[in-house]
Amino acid sequence: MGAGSDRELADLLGGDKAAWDAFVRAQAPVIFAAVRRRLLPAGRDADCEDVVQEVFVKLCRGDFRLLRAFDPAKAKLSTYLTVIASSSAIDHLRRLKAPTETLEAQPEGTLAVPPQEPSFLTIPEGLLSPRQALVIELLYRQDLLPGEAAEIIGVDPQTVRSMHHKALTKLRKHFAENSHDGEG
Amino acid sequence: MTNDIDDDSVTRALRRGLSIGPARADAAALPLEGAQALALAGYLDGSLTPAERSAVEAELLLAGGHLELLLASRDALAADPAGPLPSAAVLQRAQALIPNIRPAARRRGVAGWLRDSFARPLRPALGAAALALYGLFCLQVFDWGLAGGEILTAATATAADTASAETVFALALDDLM
Repeated sequence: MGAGSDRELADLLGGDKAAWDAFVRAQAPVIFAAVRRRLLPAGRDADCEDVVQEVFVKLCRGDFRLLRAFDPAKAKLSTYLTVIASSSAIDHLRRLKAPTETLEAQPEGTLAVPPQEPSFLTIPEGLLSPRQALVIELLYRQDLLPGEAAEIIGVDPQTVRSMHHKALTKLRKHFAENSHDGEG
Repeated sequence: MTNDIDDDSVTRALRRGLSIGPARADAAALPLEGAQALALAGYLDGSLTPAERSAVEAELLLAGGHLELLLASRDALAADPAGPLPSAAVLQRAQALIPNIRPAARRRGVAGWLRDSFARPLRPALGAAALALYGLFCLQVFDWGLAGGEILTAATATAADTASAETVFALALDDLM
């Protein structure tokens, strides 16, 4: 795979045209796959090539600022490029989401005032450990299964279940005490 | 302690909505800096230290956009690698971003090593030294200018003194004669 080694990357950063061409040939499929993975479900498959070009422009910008920040001791180049490509795809979708539809085009249900939901939880900072909070976030906000959350965090599913249990125990205790404070 | 909030009510509330600590910056997470992208990539690769992982996890909670990005990247990495490839036009457009007139990569070898190891790092210092030398030179020229002025003044004074002395001497001679 071209432009993967330190030497090839160093040549690229030195401005070697051949090294850049090899880098593009080797990494374009990685970038294209990450962009397409994000845009396809949104029905924006036709935008893939433009976003891929945008990613390469980003990589060249500021004398290869993003590529200079890459450290092979910290991550694989393919993962690093996947993160950058996914970021560009998300950005692209966000830009498209800008309000371009007229008010009349909105379905009535969207404009309706939702019924008041009184009991949204605000968890005080520091009540849960960052990892417990992340588990809660992944399980409840991102609707992931414990196995999926475990894979992201890099622990066993059993550990995720344990962290989930401990987080819920803390939350129960916190809200029980607060409800007593409110009464007293 | 009376436990009047049961598991169900907590989990129901969690499913309705969740806010941890200060306001989350969902939209402010992008655009991404290189260091943030590297941290997320390292997190996905499992190559960070425990302290670095904790720092990333704390960041994920504060910046919702980063969590979305992490999940999207993970999803892309898990996808079938044998997907469609970009067209040749995409490659050509990307390759054209670096024109052929860019200088070739630095030559290797002893000369290249010397240049990379010493000449390049010393370049700012050499520039500063050259500037300092130029300043010293200018000061010296200024000093020379002042000194030259003094010499001229002294020479003029000496010439004037000599002239007046000669006049006195001539008058004295006239008196004697």
